[in-house]
Amino acid sequence: MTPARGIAGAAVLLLGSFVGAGISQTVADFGEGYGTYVLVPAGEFLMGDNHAEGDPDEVPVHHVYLDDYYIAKYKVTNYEYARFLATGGYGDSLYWEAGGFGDYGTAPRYWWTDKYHGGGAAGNETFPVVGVSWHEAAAYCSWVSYETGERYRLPTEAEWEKAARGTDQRRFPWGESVDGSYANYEYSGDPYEPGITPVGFYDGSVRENFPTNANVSPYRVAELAGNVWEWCQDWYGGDYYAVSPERDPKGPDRGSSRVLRAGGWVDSHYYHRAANRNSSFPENRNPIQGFRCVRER
Amino acid sequence: MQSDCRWLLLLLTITTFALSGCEPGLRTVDDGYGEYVFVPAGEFLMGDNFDEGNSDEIPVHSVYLDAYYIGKQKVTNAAYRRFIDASGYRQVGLWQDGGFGEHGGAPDHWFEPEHHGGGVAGNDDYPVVGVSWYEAAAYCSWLSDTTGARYRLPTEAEWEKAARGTDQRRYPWGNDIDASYASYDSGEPRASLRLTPVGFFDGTTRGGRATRDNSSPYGAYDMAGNTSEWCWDWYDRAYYLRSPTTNPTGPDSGTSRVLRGGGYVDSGYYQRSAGRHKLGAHFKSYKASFRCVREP
Repeated sequence: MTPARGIAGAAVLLLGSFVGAGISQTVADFGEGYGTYVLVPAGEFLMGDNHAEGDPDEVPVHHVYLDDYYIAKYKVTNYEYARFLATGGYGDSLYWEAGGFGDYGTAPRYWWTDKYHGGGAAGNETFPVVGVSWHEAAAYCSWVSYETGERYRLPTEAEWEKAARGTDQRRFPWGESVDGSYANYEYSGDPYEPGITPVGFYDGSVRENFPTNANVSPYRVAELAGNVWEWCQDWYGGDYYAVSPERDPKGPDRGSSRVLRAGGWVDSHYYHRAANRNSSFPENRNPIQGFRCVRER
Repeated sequence: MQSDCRWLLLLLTITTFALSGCEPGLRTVDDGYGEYVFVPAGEFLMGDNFDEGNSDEIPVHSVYLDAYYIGKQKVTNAAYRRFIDASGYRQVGLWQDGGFGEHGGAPDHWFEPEHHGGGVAGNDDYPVVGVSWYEAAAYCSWLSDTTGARYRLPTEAEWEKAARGTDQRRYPWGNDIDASYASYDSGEPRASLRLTPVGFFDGTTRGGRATRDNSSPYGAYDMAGNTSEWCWDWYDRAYYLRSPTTNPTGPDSGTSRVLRGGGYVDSGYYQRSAGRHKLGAHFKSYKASFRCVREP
């Protein structure tokens, strides 16, 4: 198994090097080593299942206006998450204002599990961190805020969906149809089958004789479909689209589950549609859930 | 083993039990509303021993259950129609608090061909779907009234033991799943995913398609795939941290009831016998059905 990209300290630099010179206005890593973030410009989009193919919670399709924001180009990697651990993130309540401080031991559930490419073993730096609860994901974003002085947090569900499909109501981040060259889903045929793929694997190159297509959204955000689910900020509400505000919706005021988006490596691509919604209780840690952060302007 | 068989044969002569074999798990009873398979008293290890599931599936813990019978198949449309025809929806005594009068006179999708509803000809052998927890519980209560035996929804622990026995297997038949074992999302186009009649996966060839016998160690069929099944218990994600070790019946209160097993649109990960799902008791899902247990 060849890591998709460089490892350890090299990973950050290489992530940065993917940024094309011509799009420097919309992509930035802010030079601080917390990954590359992509600008999603302010404006309206249509949220929800316009293809009449999804679950009842994906409708009605409705207009949403969002201010501009940055979103991580990739899911959070083990390399990035390891820095949170190394700086004592699990032992400092400062980062856990959303709850969960002291509830999760000293590392994600699968940190030492080879099968899920846990970050505790060398060579797994470019795999997405998994086995993290919503609280651990939120705490990581909070930690980045304290480290950088900027405002990082989990994306709202609306921010996530806009980042994934833009304003033209496409089904998947890259377009309308899907096959195993685009994303890691159940039986998609990647060299890691059945399992997690490294972050950035689906970039259009040929990997171990496996040709990939670029899994990028209209804003050039990578892998918002597939591999591992991503925690969002919002409480989950199955009927939320019927009552959500048009401007910067932030989810119901309360609930019992938090939103998950993107679809995982055990799921069929029905769940990888950008409009698909899922949820889980916030304490849940399993091998199919990770996350990325947004950075407020 | 030999003495067990003699004991069972003796039992046969003095009871109404139908004995279909000498192996453990193949003792059945039929009160006229479908076969029920015997699950002997004893201990099993409940929960995700593969370290692959959700946090609500751990810790793995030892559970002792008294003996019970459980439906060999999911409740079919034909069976459920008898409940409707017997005015089950109008007998208040059959319904758990809050359920009576809230569920119309038939399950959701009952008249929809695409969901193999029981109100459409030719669907007798399909599992009844679109039933709320209340309707499922009322059906089992009706069986009790009708037969004189005690029927009810299985507890979550009874369901899991019936599905995987005592050897901690992942699925009812073993550790691996493919489309010959169960109706589930095995990577086929979503539009081709189908509900199957109960007992479809019995090792025979059907319509040119070879099936394998998907029965559990005790002889219950389709405990993975096709539909999820209502259990009695309130759902609590942290229940395994504090559940009693003998005959657990779930928390005293909650907001959702437990569903077990995965549906025909769910992938293999969600078919694991240790997997736990939940749904509000009033919801009627096209992929939710049930089976009852019968007390000895």
